[in-house]
Amino acid sequence: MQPSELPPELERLERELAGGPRPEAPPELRDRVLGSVRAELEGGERASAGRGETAPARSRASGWLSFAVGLALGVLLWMNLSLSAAQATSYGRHLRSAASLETTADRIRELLPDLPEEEVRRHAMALRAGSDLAPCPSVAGRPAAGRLRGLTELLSEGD
Amino acid sequence: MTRPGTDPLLADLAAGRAEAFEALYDRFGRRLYRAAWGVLGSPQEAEDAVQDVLLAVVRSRERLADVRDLTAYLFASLRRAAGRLAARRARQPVAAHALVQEVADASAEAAAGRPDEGPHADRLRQALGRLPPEQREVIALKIDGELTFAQIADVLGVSINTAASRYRYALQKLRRSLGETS
Repeated sequence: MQPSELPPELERLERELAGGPRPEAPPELRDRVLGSVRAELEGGERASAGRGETAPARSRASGWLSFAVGLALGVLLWMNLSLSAAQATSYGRHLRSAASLETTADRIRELLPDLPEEEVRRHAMALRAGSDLAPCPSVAGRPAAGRLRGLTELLSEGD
Repeated sequence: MTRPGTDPLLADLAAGRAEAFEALYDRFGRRLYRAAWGVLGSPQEAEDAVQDVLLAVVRSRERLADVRDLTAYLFASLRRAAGRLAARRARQPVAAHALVQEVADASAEAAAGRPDEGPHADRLRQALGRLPPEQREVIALKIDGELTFAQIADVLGVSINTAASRYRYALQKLRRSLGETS
């Protein structure tokens, strides 16, 4: 939008605003601002001279430092996640100690006497098969997993 | 007005030459100060904002090579400085009597730094003070900062059309406000 596109009454107001008395910066502000600028410039030069570095070298150094810090954080995070995953993983070692399918079926019968024989066999086979599975994270707190753990603990105690 | 990419001052500023910062203050100090006063409404904070802008240029001088328009760059920096100062002011808990004293001091301070204004100019200033901050800001950038709409758009991060229409709405509101009080 060009100023000429303003309606005449707004153009008049704009002229009034631009032409009216406006505040002036106090003269001492120049010295104050330029004094702090000089101090900042000298402080920066002293800091880089003390380390024998130029400004681009400082920039490169800070870039490398940021990269190193980022990398270290990444490694720490990866280690933390790996340890957590390893701790939460069930390798089913307790199941491997179960002697046989029959022993497993006996334990199930003890635990659930009302379970039909067919179901007992099915659960026993499932538990034995589970012992040969690849490691997988065990999800704590889930009801099904809790029941399964109870069963397997019982089986282990029996060995 | 600074032409994008052609200002020789940028190279001297990037090199950290003290004379370049003097030239920068002499060229922009007055406009920055007036715009800061227009936005913040306080001469003391306007001084702080100008100082913050120049210090920010010193600290980020290695990036000045990428600056296309020095004027827009400085006023964008002023806008950030003003935002920080306004936020700091808002965070300060002020007791009622201290607030009254502060307002009285600011008025006296402002009157001392401002040229003698007639009753109409006084009414104009008061009406400006009643505008919403974003409209007061666009007027301060246009009138006090003497920026073009393209530069205002750059500073505010909006399109040129939005900057122009925001300015027009601000003038309309100011005119209505003056009409109501006359």
